[in-house]
Amino acid sequence: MALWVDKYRPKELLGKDGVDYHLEQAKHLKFLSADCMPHLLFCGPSGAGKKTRIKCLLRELYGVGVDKTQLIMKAFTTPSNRKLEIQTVSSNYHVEMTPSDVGIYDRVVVQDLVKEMAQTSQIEASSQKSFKVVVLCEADSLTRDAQHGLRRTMEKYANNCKIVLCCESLSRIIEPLQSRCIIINVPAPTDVEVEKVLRKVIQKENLNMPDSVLQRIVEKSEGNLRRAILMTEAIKMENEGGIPANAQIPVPEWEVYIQETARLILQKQTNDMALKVRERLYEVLSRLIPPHVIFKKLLEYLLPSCPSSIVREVVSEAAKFEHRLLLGQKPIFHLEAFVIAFMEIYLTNASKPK
Amino acid sequence: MSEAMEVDSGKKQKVLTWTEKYRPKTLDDIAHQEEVVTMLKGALQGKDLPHLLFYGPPGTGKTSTALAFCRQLFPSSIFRDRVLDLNASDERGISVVRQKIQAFSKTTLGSSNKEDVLRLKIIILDEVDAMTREAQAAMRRVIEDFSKTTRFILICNYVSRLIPPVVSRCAKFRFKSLPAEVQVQRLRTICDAEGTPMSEDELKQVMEYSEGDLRRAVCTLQSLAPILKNGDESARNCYLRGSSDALLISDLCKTLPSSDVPQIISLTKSITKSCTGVAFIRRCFQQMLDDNLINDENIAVMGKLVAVCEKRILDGCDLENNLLDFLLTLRETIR
Repeated sequence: MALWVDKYRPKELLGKDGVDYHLEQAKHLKFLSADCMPHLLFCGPSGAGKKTRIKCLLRELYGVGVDKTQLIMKAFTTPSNRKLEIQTVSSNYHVEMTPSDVGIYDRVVVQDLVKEMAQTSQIEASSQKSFKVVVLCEADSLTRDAQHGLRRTMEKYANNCKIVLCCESLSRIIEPLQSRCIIINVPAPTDVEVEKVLRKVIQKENLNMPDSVLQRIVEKSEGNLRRAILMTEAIKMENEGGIPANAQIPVPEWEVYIQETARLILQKQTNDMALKVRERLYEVLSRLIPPHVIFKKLLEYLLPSCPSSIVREVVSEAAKFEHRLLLGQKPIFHLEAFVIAFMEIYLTNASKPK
Repeated sequence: MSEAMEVDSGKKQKVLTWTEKYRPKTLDDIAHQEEVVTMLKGALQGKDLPHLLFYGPPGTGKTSTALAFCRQLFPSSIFRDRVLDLNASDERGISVVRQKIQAFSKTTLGSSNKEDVLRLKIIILDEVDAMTREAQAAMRRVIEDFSKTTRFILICNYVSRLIPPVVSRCAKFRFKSLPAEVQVQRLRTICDAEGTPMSEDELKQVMEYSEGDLRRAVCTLQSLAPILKNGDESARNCYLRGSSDALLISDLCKTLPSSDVPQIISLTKSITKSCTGVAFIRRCFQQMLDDNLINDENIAVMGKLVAVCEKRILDGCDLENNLLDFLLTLRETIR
């Protein structure tokens, strides 16, 4: 049985099974595919529907043939004679891959595999489109070298190969690549749109779900539609007999733990407390929660309790330590440094006469 | 047979993107880069040709100029023998410099041909700033040793990423961002050729969105073309607004001074859901400057912060935190 996320994924750009929001954009995409398709660059937060739109676009271009995909491992050799493999999903018309899977060797993938694919032209040009499509996922984690490698390939072989890039943020895509693509921004759906989609799913599944629960799911999902649908399904699984109005939305344990930690920090700003917090942070880190996620959550729980006068300072410190955390090796130092810095700011502010 | 060939080429034509279709074919077509065009034209007539270094922002015609020049210099029959075009999509480590480039430079020219104006070979190295320092260093001697028979055209965005010895061996030409009139004129020509009706105002909007990058402008124009031909007025307005960023920013400029901290936090959340990344902060700052919202003393402070945020984000940090930092500081300085 397929997950609901896949079961109710839109199949086409417009029409009965069409996408549920950004309709104007869908129309635009349809126009683009009908005329001569340029290179595209999809960007937007996760769960906003980038991949769904790419799939729909491909179907628009080539018909249902693109659904017949197969996994192919492609082997290639780096200049230093290391043999590596990369997984690609391909149909007769398109190839999809994530070059950043192979880390710093993505340059070789772009230079060899993508270029090779771009150079060969579609066999039966008369019966179908004369170009094929290469979809590169996670384009924002491509190294600079790899991105440079794409530049000329995109121009030279534009006739028989269109490149579709998919990324979360444009910041890390170099300017020259941006200027070669049409940028399709896929913003997260609004709460109303998420609710609409959820209602559609619920109706199709004949599920009886109280409005209050639905509202809470929408709130929790923060515009991530995939998460919203998964949560809905999870709740259904947990409450087989029927969903009560006060059904709890499952919150991961570590989130509760971090919330508790934040409360402790706010409670008392002493050396002892700092030690205690350190222990807790170690605990979370040992559960393999990524440090930047811990950071984000911690800040999220701390901010609402801060007086507005110190928010700016706290955020500045947070941004600073987050950056260091990324550059440095040991996450605990930076997490702890932030906690201490926060305590310091909090204390001096509290002691100041209002 | 010949008929079939023609049909085929006609089909190809259709698939060609406009950026390729309207890429300048001769030096006369190059927009707005007079100095370099004058110099290259001189070379076409037999004057001396130094090694060249083209640099400038994307979409100003660097690669087009180099290619157009070589096309005009060499008839297509000998083009392949005389021009070596290497770009970042080719392997360009130090070994390639030592082998491929050196080998190509060493080859002597065949018997003289009358249609040959310059008895030279040309090596175009596109995107040189993506080459490693070692590879660049290895080029130093190559550039000098074979200057009798070989000229280099180096192309890059940032001249500061090249090692100084390489830069000093070439005549530098900066490609300027194209001014508004030139761009509008170019876009107008393309519009007329493609039969896409567009008003002067709309062209201006396309141009503003592309920030001096002609390729981006042409690309945008092409993506708009089917909608424009369709003539749906509302859709037309929707896409011509450019990116959604512009709208967000103008909203932001109005609401920011009067909003309090929790409002800004929630605002940041909603912005990160839809905006496109670091360019947002930069554009926002630009807009604030244009609107005179920031006073003179604070421009330096904010400018520095923009730079810091940009660095953090490019290193891989989250947008949300940095944006929040930026907006909160901005609000404080505006007050």
